[in-house]
Amino acid sequence: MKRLMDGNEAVGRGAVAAGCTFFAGYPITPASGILHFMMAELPGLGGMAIQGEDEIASIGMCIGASITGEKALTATSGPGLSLYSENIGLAIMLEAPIVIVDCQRMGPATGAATKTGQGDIQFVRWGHSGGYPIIALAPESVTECYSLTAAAFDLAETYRTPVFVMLDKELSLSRETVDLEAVRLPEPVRRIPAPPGSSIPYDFKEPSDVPPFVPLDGSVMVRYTGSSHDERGELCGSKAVLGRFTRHFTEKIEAHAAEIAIAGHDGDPGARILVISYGITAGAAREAVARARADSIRVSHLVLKTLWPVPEAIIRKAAAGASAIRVPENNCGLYGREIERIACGIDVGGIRKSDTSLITPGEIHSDILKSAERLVAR
Amino acid sequence: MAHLLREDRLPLPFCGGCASHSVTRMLDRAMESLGLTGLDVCLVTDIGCNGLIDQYFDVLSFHGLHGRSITYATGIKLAKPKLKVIVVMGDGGTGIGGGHLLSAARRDVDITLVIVNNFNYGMTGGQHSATTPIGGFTTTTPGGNLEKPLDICQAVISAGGRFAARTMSSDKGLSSLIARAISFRGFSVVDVIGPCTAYFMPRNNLKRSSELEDLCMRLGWKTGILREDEGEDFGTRYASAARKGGGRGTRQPEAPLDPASQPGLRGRTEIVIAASAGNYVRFAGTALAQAAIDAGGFAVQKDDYPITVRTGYSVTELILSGSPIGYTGADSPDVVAVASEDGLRKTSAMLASLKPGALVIAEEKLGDFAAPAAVRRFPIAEIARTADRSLVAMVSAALISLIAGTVPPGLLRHTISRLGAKAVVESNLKAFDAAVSYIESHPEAAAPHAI
Repeated sequence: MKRLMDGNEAVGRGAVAAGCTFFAGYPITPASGILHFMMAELPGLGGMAIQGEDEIASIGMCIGASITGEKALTATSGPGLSLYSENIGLAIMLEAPIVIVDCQRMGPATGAATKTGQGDIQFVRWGHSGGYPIIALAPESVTECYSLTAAAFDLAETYRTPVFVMLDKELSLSRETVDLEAVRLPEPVRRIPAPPGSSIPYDFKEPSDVPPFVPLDGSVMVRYTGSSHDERGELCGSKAVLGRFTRHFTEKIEAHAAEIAIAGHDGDPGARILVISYGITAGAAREAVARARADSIRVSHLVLKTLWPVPEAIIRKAAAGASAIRVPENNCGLYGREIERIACGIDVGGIRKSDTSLITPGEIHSDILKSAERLVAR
Repeated sequence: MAHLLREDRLPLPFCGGCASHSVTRMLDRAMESLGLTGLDVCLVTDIGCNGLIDQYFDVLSFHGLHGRSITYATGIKLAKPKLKVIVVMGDGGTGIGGGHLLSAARRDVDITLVIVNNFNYGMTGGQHSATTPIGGFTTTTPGGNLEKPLDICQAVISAGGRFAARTMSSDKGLSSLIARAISFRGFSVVDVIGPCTAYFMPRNNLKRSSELEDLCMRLGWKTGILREDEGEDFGTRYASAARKGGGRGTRQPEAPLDPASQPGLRGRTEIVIAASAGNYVRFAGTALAQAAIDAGGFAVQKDDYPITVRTGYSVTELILSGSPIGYTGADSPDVVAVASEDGLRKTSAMLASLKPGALVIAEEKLGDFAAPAAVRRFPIAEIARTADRSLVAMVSAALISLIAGTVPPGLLRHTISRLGAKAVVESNLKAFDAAVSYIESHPEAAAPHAI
């Protein structure tokens, strides 16, 4: 049945559909709707939802629950994400699956509360000490808030890692027309359990392997620590072991980048212009591309749903033959630099807007037209 | 004889005479006296010398970030209630995690907190902590501490904690006190006062740990069980609230009309309804949006209001379309309804920049405003008064439907009837009907406006 729903409720429904059993969060606009939904829904489903005394406590509780085997969700916005930082590192170190929703608003600090922005795109990637990879997904619609939150749980379980779902104020609070019953979600994924009786929480052969999980639930002796540790979770200072673990943290994500990559490609093989969009700018970019094509301009459009790890192979393939890449962003060009890095030599630019207003189809359309003119003039 | 200590790991990694030696031994004895196995207990520690002890126990263990142990312990306990969850941390962790301490006392999750309180940060070189006495010499208070020390037990008690006890690390009864705290159903705190032989003791010319008892006396810190009250822990309260249907669930709307029987929507229409808080603006917008969906179309709704409740403006923005909506900005409204002074103030800039051909439906009593569009005035408040004077947004929505023809009035009425609580639906239907009869009796006002 089609109905109106905002992105926050869709996130909550996606989490429940993926088997989320634990939620902890702290109120913050525009993410509070997720807290409200989970407080209303989870108890009746046998799960646990709690409002923490602050964001540090909220993510801490989620990590505690996750390490016992629960599927845990938390949700916040920029200021709260800042407080999550240290515990994001802990989740990486423990290899504790957790889904973190970031309903972006324009920052820094309290920023333009509460107006939209996409300024946390690099923050989620680098917002912990050490610089190890994480996974981040960016829905472009309320329907995708549902399906990609479910996907985020599957990825968190598969790779034993924090996974971010990047909404923004616009997606969180706008109510769109959805028909969730018509969305077919894959069977929820559960983290692979260690063999019965195993007490080894980090048993991996190749650095890129994901170790099977040992729950801290009283079924078997196990220890977890945020300090450098060996395969058994014992404190460890050996260079060889720590080197192996840091390679593991990196490779267990990056070696699987192709499997993690989700994108939508609307390609025109003869196009010399490629538009790359993500999140809330994707809808405007679609309309702009349709208008440009109506003007007989050949243009391709790649919508990234996975932002981290950067879906490099998909971007390279889409960029083949392109002479100009346009990346509209509601920030100062934060993801464009990733595209520049990959598509070296190709001119990368686009509308960059951080004045709290959305990028319009008209703005992207005229940006495409100007780009086409430059290509002709060249 | 050790119970759950890992004999092969000994000796313990602490300085001679450190309070953590006795706390480790006494905790082991406490677990032994309760007959706990290593799989019954989860020991949660964080940063500080005492945070090393989890490695010396054969129990489930979790070692986290400085001062955050209580948060992990809370998550573990709520997820796995059968585990005995014991937190060991220092006065340093207690200080940085002070908010967690107070919240844990108020929340009353069934975990036990054993604090190794040695008046300074031992691990990082003897800096002053939340419990360093005034005048106490530490690395960071070379002229004596200027800050007042925290009485942890009093803080816990004042936050509603039901179990708070204090004793010295040299107390022979420490293990039974810890055992009693573990057995207590609810949040329990044991504040163990003991020596830091590396820093605090020598710096302050303290020779024997018995001198710390005198220090406690001087600080007015009582020892013994300072509170042990009956009550229900959080887990018990949560379970019974959940059984009673706590977590009320979220409402699903009832089934719409068959979309196939409804006339389709054409193009994209952007609508704004601007009025005041308490005017059911959001409800009126949802009715129009849901009616568009019921007609087989698509809708986006965005609401804007100040953080105040029942005062100030309330604006809803709608996009209705026959095809899926990609861009959700409503930058160029086709119809704006302005039903109150608040609404006019909020939308005056928007009205001034309307495109030609746009329609403004305005309350007739409002003052003049600039709008390069077709402006139609109606006694919106007067019409609403026959139902409820606050329902000017629904009258506006009805007028939009009747005049601009965005969604058929009959369909809108049916959609309203299934949208919410009975009383809200009934009064809004009355307001809708009042608008319909106004238009019927004022045919000159009913001229359709093509958008």
